[in-house]
Amino acid sequence: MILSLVLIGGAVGATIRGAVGHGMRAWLPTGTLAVNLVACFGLGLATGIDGTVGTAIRIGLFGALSTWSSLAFEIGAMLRRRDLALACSTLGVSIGGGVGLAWLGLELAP
Amino acid sequence: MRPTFLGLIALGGAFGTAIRWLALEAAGAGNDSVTVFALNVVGSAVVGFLAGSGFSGTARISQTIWPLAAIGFCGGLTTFSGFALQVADNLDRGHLASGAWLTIFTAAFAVSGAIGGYLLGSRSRMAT
Repeated sequence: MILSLVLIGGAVGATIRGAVGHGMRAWLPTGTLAVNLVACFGLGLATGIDGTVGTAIRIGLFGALSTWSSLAFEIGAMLRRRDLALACSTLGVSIGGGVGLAWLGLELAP
Repeated sequence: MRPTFLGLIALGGAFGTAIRWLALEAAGAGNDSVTVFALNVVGSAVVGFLAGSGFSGTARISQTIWPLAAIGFCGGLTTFSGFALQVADNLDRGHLASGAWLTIFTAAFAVSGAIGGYLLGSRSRMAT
């Protein structure tokens, strides 16, 4: 039961991430930043949800909505292009914003 | 955007997420940080390897491999929000050093893994 819900949550989170990343590529350097920040806040909020549904939402939906692998790959590509400023600012905004929003979500969680 | 593109991402994402959940369950309570760190580094290295191997291009096989394995599976296997929540929780409890080390190690190893994977993939592609 719980594995099924985690699978569904993962599929939904990954699909939203893929769609946002594809749609935002044209006008934003990376859609990864946007989905990561939203997922951090959502995960913090979802810590207040108990039980199987809470696990599916935290591990599945918000876990799969965010990604370290794409962020690391994009920063690696910036470093390979020797664009150190963009790499550092992307990493800094991602981590600073993500941790801050996760903390805010934790504080606001029911 | 092709429907199959999103379908492949959903399929890969579901399995990557399931493996992350199973790994967290197997590692047991109290080992979440180490487990998430390891998954984030491995997933980043695999995405780098796939890109270096040429699967992020426009070739027909890439249109299946990249959304399924890179965007879907590795995206689901790794989690930025889980990492951020662990750091926020450490900071909230006053464990500043733990939060700082988790941040530094994850960022350094994930980015190094992605670059190393890319170089390894590029090298293996040139060798074939």
